[in-house]
Amino acid sequence: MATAIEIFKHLPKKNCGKCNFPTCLAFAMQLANQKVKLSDCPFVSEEAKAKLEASSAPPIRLVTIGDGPKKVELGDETELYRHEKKFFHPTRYAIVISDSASDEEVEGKLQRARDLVFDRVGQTLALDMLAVRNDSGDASTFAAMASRVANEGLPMVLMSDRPEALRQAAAGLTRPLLYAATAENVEEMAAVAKELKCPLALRSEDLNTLADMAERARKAGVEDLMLDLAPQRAKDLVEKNTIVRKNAVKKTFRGLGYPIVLNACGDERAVLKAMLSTMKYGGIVLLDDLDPAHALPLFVLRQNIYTDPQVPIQVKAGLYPVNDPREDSPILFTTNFSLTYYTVLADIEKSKVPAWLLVVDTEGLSVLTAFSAGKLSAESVVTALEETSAKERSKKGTLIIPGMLSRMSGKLQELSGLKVVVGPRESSGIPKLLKSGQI
Amino acid sequence: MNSSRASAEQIFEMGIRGARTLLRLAAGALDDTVAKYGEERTVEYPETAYELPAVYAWDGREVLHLSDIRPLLEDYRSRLRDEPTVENALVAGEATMIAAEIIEALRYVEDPHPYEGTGYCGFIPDKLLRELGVALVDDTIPGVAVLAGKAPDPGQLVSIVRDLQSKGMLIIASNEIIEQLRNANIKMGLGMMLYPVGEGTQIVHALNFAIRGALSFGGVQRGDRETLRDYLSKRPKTFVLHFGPLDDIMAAVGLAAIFNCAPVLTDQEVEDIPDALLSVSPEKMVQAAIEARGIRVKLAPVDIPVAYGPAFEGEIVRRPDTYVEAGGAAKTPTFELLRSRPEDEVEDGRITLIGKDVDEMEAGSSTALAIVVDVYGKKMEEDFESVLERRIHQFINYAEGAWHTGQRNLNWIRLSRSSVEAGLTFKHFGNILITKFKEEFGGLVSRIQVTIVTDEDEVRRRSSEAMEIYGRRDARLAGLTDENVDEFYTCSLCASFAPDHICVITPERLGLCGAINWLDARASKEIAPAGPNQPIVKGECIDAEKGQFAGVNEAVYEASHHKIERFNIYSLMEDPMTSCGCFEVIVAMSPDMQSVVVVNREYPGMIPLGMKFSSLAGSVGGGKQTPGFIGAGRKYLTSRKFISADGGFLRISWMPKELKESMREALEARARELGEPDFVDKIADETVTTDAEGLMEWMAKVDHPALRMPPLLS
Amino acid sequence: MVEVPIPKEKWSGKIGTVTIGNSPAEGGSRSAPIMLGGGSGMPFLSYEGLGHKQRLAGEVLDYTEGVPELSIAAFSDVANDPVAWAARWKELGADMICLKLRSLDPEGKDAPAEDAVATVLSVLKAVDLPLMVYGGGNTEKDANAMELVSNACAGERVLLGQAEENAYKSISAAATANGHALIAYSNLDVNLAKQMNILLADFGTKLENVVMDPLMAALGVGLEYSYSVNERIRLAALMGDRMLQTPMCCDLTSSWETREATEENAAWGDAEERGAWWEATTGLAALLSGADLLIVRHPRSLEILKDAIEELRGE
Repeated sequence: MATAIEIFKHLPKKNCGKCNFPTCLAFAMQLANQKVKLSDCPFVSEEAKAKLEASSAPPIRLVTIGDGPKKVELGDETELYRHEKKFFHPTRYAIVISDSASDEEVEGKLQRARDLVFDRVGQTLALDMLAVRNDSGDASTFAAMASRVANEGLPMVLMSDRPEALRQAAAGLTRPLLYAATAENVEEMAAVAKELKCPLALRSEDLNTLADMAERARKAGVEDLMLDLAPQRAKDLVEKNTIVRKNAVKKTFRGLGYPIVLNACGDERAVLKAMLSTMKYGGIVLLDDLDPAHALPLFVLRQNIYTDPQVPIQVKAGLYPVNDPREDSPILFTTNFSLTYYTVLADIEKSKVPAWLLVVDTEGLSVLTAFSAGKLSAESVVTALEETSAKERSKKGTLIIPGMLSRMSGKLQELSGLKVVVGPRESSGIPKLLKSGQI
Repeated sequence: MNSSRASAEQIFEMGIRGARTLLRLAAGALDDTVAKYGEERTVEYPETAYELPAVYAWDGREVLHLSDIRPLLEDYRSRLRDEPTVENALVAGEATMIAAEIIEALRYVEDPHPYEGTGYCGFIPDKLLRELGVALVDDTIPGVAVLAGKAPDPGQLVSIVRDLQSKGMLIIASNEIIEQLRNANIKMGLGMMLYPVGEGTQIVHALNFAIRGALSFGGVQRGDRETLRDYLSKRPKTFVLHFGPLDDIMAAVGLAAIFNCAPVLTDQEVEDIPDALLSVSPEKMVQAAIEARGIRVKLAPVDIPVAYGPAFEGEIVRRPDTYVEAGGAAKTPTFELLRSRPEDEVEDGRITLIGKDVDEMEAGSSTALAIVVDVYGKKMEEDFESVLERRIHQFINYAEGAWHTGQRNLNWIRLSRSSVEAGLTFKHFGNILITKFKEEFGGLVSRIQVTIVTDEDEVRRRSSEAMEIYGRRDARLAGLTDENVDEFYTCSLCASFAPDHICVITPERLGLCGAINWLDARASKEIAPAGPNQPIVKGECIDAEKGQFAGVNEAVYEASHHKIERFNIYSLMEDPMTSCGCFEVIVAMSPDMQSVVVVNREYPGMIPLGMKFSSLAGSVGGGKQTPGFIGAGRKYLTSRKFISADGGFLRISWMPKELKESMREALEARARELGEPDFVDKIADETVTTDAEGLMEWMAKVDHPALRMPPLLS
Repeated sequence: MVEVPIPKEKWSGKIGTVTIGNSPAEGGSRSAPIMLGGGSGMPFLSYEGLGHKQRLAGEVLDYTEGVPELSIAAFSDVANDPVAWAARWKELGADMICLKLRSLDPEGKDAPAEDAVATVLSVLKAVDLPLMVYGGGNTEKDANAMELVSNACAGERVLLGQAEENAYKSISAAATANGHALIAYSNLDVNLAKQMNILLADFGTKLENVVMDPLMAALGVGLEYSYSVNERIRLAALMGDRMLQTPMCCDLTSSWETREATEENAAWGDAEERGAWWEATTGLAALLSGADLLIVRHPRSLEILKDAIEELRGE
């Protein structure tokens, strides 16, 4: 990706503000971060456009499935390792429903899909997609089931090896993924995809064949492609996904620059493969079913891996009860940087001593960083105390502060009117302090 | 031995003679033993896995039978040379060690318990090494003192032993010292941490004890001389204290110790050999040994009558609670100063009070106050004075009821009523500072003395010296340029958020967090050699104007995991330095490409780029090179190297008002230096404009000097 | 037809090999010593070089007070018998035993070091798998206890935990004296991990005796940090940073401290199965980011990870 300055050189430098940024330089910076599109600039010259688009074309095509707020976007990744920038479009999970399943079975799976919703650190983790597989061999049965399942409002995957069945089923849906063309029927499948403007998945065990198929699909006018690399074992999954991703982002081979779909139906290691796909460049994982005992760790893994390494996960600011505190329990405070919060929480829980944990909004910075950056001060702690009515819920009058913030103890004591106790520098010392009887 | 000072050559000559004598004695003893027991008789020390340890470790040859010994003796005899060079002296030392070890081993052939009933312990078995061993190398036992010779003053010897014991050292006594200690009723034995090894060649057991430490805990392999020497040079921290006249044998034994990296400190007049042989009067021996071996003695907690610790750092002492105050609002003369002094001017642990202490002052009064800390350390440099001095603030604040703010002669100190009631005095500042400086800077300073002055005349008298030193320091800092140093430093303190980022800290460009300057980095490297600040040898200067150096490029290439090949330290526009994200300010090209705007983290509003600090920060951080934008420490703005490749200081066209005012003095000084005395008022701020057009108009209006420069981007 | 290239990286570095456990031929009593590390590429890319097999150590505690009950429910019949617990792990297919002497903790049971050492010896006698031993978490007491453990286990080449920035000399000397390997612990930071290895090397510990533990944060409580720190350590090692070329150990057992792992909640599925997957997921992230040795608590997660390692290696 070009730097902001390189992009800026090609911009008209009118500072007209039509792009919604006051200056061309600001726009260039947003463009460099891929937060806006070049087309937002009405004055950019064709020549500049060509130059910039060539250098900013994503190495992996962005593929959208479905529409509206629940649509899923895949691809457009630029990194091999998340720490280099971040992974942009998270892996998506779909539960597959057979078009020859009993009513009861279908309803069971749909209910399961609806129930797979977890709230976690301010985000909702839920099942993303549904898929319908044409086991009946009958096109109208398939289309009927597709439309029934599509009523759930989730983006869809239609699974059939027959172009005609896919055409019928897809006709009434919004941008479902057509799964999957094989080397034998790429052209027919591509014709359907082109006609209905749907993304198309290509399936082959052999990467060379797959590259060839992608070429044929493009020739047939379909650009929105996904790849099923049909890995046999976990080894193949990790290796093939890595080859495809690395070739694309390192630009050593551009013919396979598409997101990946994995069909884990009928695989006894489906959960394992879903996990591996989540860490290693997977786009969509198709699953027969998903037990909530597996779904929760899987969704949390995705949430973790797709976190922006430079924007730490934040927990919600507020006053949290730990170990059933009462009015005579002390207050401890920490930041809303998730890692800090979890560590402190675990250490208070370990002590078994009832306490109130006040989480102060520090924009996700850790204690010392927040303090140095001025995001955590005696004033902001006092504000947090007031906003949470902490002093009404805990009447003990004691506030335990992180040891690294000993410097703010005096001021905080004055401003808060609470007795400030300087806690340990490391959270691991909290149980000892709480159990010491000195609090 | 006559009273004139013995030269190194004389000592070497004596030692080489002594080595010959010992080899002869060993050969004679061998003949006698062989005659009695035959060549095939086994020879071994009791309870050890290392045969004859010194031979095993240094020489590597196997000695199992008497027949194995003769070739060894022959070999060492043939290697001895009489010419008194350092090299030959070390050969003599090694030969002495081998000969002594053989003589001792032969005793064990005669009698498996040769020292039973003698009051000596002879060879120290492996069992003891294992018991003590870890403590010996992990600094729990800070050092091993080998006492040799005969002390002219037994009383003094006893006080030296008491001193060593109080510091937790292991003591190995030999020669007449043993008798002298026995007469003084000092308890000795293998269980006492004071081993009386024996009267003569038994001193080799001290050496082979240390050697086995290296073999056992350092993983040194048989005959690996280089690794062994390296290990012994670091630990166990063995040293020899020698008393009384020198003779050939004693000189030879001294060389054997030196060969084993144990320095010898003697009360005799001899020419010093750095790190090896030191002539020291007995009362200074222990301190000198501690410094010679870089021993760090465990410190007791700060001993004052009030609580002490970081918990009290933020405690505020309000006026009504104040018992006594100095400086600040009290307007009494005060200063604090940390000076590096020569070793003979610093008496470790001495606290001197000049004037009254708080117990003689009235509640609610004020006083003059000078805090003078004198330090000495082999690695201490004048340049580190300010780094250490800045910590006085924190160390005093840690005491309950003590409050400190400011620095140098602008400090302000209060003691609370309750702390004074509890017994806290100004003199206790001495205890605090000595303990804390040793604790945190023990690698730099080994002697600390503190002088507290409350006598106003004396404070005034001394403050002129302090002012002179501050002035000298400031001049030194001002004269510290990137050109006149050979090394820059990396700083990776914060790299966890931006893995590929590395700060390069030069005298004229401090870390972008503003917290670490070149001197801090250098001191930090001395204190923690493997820590976050590593030196970069500048290497070839590739581009003097842009500040590009071969050494920096290499370091950056490595640290960025091969992603970034070049840093131009003085450029904003071409291969600029990366940022982690914790910069104090961002410097950015203005939209008209003619100037730069500076924005600090605290400023929440819009800047003429059409962005706010927060969104700008997201683009600039993360360890990527973003030409046109750099993160920086505030102080870099007034550096002579501030984007000097792009026009420098006079490019600044805008900065938030609060930032401008807080730095006004420094900004104006820099402007005057550049011959633009009114420049600072040509820098716009948010009260003038926050958009690009407004900034261009302003610059035209004030005839901003950046307008006369070429555009930053062509 | 087009030929898709295999983007094999030409790394200049390689992870070193550390052997744990001595067989009778080497003066110990372990049935089969284990080799860790040796990878010459990013994890599980056979075309870059797999290195030695990733291994699983089953955790045994000599004191279980305060440990989440569900996490050791599978061992409830042996929870007071470290020997039987270790033997169970062997039956379950663990490669190693990881014995944690929690009883030493002065804030817990505060058992004398001698008792803990006796436990180590009886486990060593009863189960012939290679052994790793941790103290109870109190720096001073552990330093002494690990010295005793080191002496008592002389010849067995145990993996001793753990050297930390402020407490590494004792354990390093104790390990070296008896030919053991040791864990170099650092707190979620590449530079600290490197500094720890430098400190150890400087102290005389050879890197062939060092396994690093860069602190594996569990799923949901910072896993992403560990994942990236581990990857960065591995990348730097492969790029030739000698001081990071030590095998990596990740302790997964803290996964059980995460509330969501074990909280009873009808909508979250079976708690024990979820907990096991919580631990296993943390383990998978550790494996894919570069771990050579994992410490596990639950038999089910051992089963999942054992299968995963074989699958990933294509064995």
